[in-house]
Amino acid sequence: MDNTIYSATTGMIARQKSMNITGNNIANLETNGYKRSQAVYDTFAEYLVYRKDGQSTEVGNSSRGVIINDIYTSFEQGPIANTGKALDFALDGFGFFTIESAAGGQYMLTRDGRFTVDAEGFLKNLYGDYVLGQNGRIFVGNNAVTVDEQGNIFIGGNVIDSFLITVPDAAEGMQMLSNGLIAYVGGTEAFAGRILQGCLEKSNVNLIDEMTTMLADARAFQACSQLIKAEDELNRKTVTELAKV
Amino acid sequence: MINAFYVSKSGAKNYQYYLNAVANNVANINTNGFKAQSVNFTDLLYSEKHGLQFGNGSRAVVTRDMSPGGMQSSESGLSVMVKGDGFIAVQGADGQIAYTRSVNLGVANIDGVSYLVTAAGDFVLDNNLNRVVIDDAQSSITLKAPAEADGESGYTLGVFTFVNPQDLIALGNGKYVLNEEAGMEAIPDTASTLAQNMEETSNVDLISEMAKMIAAQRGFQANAQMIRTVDEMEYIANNLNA
Repeated sequence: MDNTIYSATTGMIARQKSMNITGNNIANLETNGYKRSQAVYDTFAEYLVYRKDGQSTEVGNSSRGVIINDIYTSFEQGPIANTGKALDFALDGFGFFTIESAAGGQYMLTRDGRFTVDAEGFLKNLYGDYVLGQNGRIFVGNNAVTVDEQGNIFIGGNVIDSFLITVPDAAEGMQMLSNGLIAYVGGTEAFAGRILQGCLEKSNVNLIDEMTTMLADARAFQACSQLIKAEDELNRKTVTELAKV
Repeated sequence: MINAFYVSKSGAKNYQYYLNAVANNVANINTNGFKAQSVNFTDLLYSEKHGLQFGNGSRAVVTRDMSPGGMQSSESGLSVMVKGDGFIAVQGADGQIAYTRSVNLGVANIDGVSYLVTAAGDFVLDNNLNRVVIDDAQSSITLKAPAEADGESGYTLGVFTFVNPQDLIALGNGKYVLNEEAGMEAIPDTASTLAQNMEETSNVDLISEMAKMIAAQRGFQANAQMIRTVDEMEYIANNLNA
């Protein structure tokens, strides 16, 4: 049996998965701090092909198709939009706000700097998790807060804390959770960027790129389906015409 | 089934919510005391397949911008608004205490007692949450906040503030109630003052709402396009055997 149908099937499956990734990027076009992902394709392990002529001569390599072996997340800076709200923050440069889960104990990272104050006066994200400073949870009460570009938090001219910015040194340890949160295990570096108050980082999804990827994937999917049909037609001829009695 | 179908569905649906919020903001641009709502997008849980993390779309979180609106003089008789972050306490006929930024007022005579009431018929409360009673002998009514000097004459209204005003639950008619779940408490306001015969305009910014409307339409379109493309792919897969 020829390999074409199976190779073309791997192509269809890979393009379908890529479509899921593109779909997620488009669904998160408006998500603050969202980082786009894309599929990384690779060929299935290649294998040697031999000619069967008594001594089995090598004729070269062949492959069984394509596979998505990685999803690459681009941490490229997203555009920064001015909102003028005192509790909106954007990071300019690679790094993340450090977040403690609402229940406590679990530490996460986020680029979504849309914060608010809870009934007890602690700084939280929109989903009820604590925002951390160098001294732990940040208490602001109902005071007006100003933050400088180094992340120092001022209330009435006094520094009360500064944002704890985590800069992972390896992308491998990052695991995406929901609500723009990322779990990270691994080493850290010093933050070299700026913290901007009254600004938010928009998602770094580029709609033109996503639409192009979408079209390319849809057409490649279709091309693979045509291959399957063509091969099927060959097989049909083989079965019905060649063996005609 | 291609998951992108559902991923894009979530995206398209969220843009609908986004557009609803924009429409409501624009519809209330001339509503006194109205606070604009904004829709925030965030990503959903990721599912792991063969060590790869695939996203499952987005979800919308609605927040309210409690920043003060503008001031304009009132043309509807007695009215009052809060200058600062506070809210005036009022009590509905059912006894529920609500908070409001800007109200038109009147006097209602119930069983021989003159109460200060809002145009919607709610009682206005003082800082001990008792109904404000008007002395009929006085011809003009002067209102003040607890933060204003004791020496001044006039009726003191209950003005309260909140650590987390964005968690207030809107009742409509510019009234809000405490969100018990978020652990809200009303704190006596020692800073805000009252502005009589003034109204607070909405804090809706028409330009940013229009910009959001355009973004929402294009975002919706992109997601809808994705759904259509995925549908075509399903069609192709279905016709492999045709």
